[in-house]
Amino acid sequence: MRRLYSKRVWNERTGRFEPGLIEIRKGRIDSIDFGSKRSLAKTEDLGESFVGPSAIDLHIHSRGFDENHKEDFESLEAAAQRGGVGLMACMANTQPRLDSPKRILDFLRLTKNRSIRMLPFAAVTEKLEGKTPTAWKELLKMPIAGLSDDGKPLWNEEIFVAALKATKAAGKLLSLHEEDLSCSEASVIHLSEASMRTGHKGSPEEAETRMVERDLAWAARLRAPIHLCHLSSEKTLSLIRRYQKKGVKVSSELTPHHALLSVEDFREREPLEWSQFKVCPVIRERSDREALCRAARSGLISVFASDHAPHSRLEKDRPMESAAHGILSLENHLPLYDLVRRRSKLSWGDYFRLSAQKPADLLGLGQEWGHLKPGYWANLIVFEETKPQDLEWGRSKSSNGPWKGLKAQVRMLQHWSQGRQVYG
Amino acid sequence: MLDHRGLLSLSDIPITQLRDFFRRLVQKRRDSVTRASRVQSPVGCLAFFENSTRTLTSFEKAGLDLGLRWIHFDPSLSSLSKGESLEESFKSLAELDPSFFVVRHSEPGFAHWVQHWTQKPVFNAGDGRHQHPTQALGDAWTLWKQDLKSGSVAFFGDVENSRVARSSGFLFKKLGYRVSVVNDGRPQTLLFSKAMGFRLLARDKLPSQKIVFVLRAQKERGGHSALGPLLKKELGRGSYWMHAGPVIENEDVEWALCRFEDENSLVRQQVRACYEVRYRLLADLFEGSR
Ligand SMILES: [Zn+2]
Ligand SMILES: [Zn+2]
Repeated sequence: MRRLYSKRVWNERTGRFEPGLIEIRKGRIDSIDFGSKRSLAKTEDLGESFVGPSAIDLHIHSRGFDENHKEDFESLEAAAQRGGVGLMACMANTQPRLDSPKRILDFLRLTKNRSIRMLPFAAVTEKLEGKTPTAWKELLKMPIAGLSDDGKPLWNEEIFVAALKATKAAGKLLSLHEEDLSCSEASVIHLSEASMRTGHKGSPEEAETRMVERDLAWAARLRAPIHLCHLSSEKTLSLIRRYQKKGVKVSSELTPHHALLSVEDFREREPLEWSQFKVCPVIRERSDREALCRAARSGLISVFASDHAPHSRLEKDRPMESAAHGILSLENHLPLYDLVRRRSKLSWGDYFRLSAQKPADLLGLGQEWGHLKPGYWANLIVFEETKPQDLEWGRSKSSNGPWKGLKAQVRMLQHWSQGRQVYG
Repeated sequence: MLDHRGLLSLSDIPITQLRDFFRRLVQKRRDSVTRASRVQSPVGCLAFFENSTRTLTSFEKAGLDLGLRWIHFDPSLSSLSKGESLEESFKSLAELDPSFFVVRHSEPGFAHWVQHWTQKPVFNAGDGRHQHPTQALGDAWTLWKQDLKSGSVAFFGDVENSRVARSSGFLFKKLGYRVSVVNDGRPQTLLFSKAMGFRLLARDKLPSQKIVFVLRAQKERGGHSALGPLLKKELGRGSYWMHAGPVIENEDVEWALCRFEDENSLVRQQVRACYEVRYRLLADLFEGSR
């Protein structure tokens, strides 16, 4: 048994950090004694450090397999340890793709017994080509987060509808990368004054809204819950609001880059830094960013999900048009989303709802994951506030990202995953 | 005008430097980069990934007149076609130790990367829709030579896809010209004019403009002109038209305007001025070593 004491333990019931004594037994939280005056003997005294539930990230590009040079499962695990992410759902666009039961078994074998839990998404279609459905029936019985062709939209409406029915029946997620490629083809940045000035092909917000509109209409018709990845535009939010009012269950994600950056930040950068901003969907206007943050506060957006996407130097250190899409963030998950919290004036209650509770619910794991409560897995982070300091990188094998200039205001001290201390 | 990185973009060049550069262009000095007959003259590397005869030969001739020697990097014959990375290709070229590079490529920001990879001065001879600094300097120099140091310039055609409209327009504005874009009714054109700080001009106001700068439809970049050719009657009395070439006759301007010797055409002068600018820039690059 382990005992942790801090003056600031997150109390979900009161919505405050309070003095608390946490007892951990067999990987789970045995009890939390709030109001406990002092630490007992054989208790680790964490002083005034904050203690809260660790994060669950529904959108990670793990790499590994043939892309071990970008990130392997060891470096991914190490990054999550420092970032305070205890469970991650990993996308199917690995090389080779996670598009068959055999590939899922390979993934599970390589990620078993790690200090951080990793759940795969299985591809919706073979090779993520959008043409031939994978073996859904079999796959949906496996321990997976759900189905996703993320990286690519499900442009084939028939396949999308069938997948929505199948995931609804299985109670798993269908995670959707919403992009109308006919609007966004070859685009690298938001269609804006910045794209015009630099001569880059711009992507309009319709690239997102058109696809979202198609899919929300089907979700309403089929009364199926629907999960939208990485929202980028304000207009999408009004669509979601409209359908949520009709009773459609729409969950969605907020990435750190869409929450913290806008195309105005891009404008100030040198051509050598342009490619670091290249991500799909594109980073849009400041008004979009602010609307996304407000939506996270109001609950319109359900979860923080990073879309962590490591890329090699060769893919990223080059002109923007031919560079790869994607931004790295996992090992700074806490400091980045803490910045989102500060700038969006989220309460810590909002924060843990977005980072832990809702993602656990969406995975159907809400009875054991996502809360700092007795009976739950002891998944917790211990952190302190600091003076603004540079973000620290180095655990991931890659280093792509537009984060230059952002300062962390919290520091991770400890990370506990299923009762084991994995960081600090 | 130049720094240790060569000439990558015009965005940071102070106006005083521009004026000084034009003053020195007037002097028509004869230069040579060869110190003495026994010393080998410097070598420049021309790396053009897009078709271009005008800019390429202009640079080449300017260099030869200065006593420079050239090597040509032909992307289609290079190891790039075997899958070698751009970075490695340029780093290998830099090992041959040319004194500088002149590059053209379809991607915005390409010249900056070549400079970063090679750590040599680089002249940006066009990077996609982004910039074409020596063309812009040549276009501005064309006007200064004609003693057209102020007035109105209207861009006519496919501005969205044009690096010439971006860089020459930018420079004209910086030099105090009133720059506008002819409205073709497309949202892209409106956004472009906003982004660049140019006015939007109704087509029927063209005769009021001192200079009409006609742009070629950039078909290779998916562009087209929604305006059709510039008509002779749209050019005001005593006005001029410009074009960065090549002019597609009766597509960019109507037949009646395609007499390039006519007084109202500055097309030939632009070719000459661009050469002079490139000559001066290359001479400036080696001034320190003379
Ligand atoms: Zn995606
Ligand atoms: Zn993704």
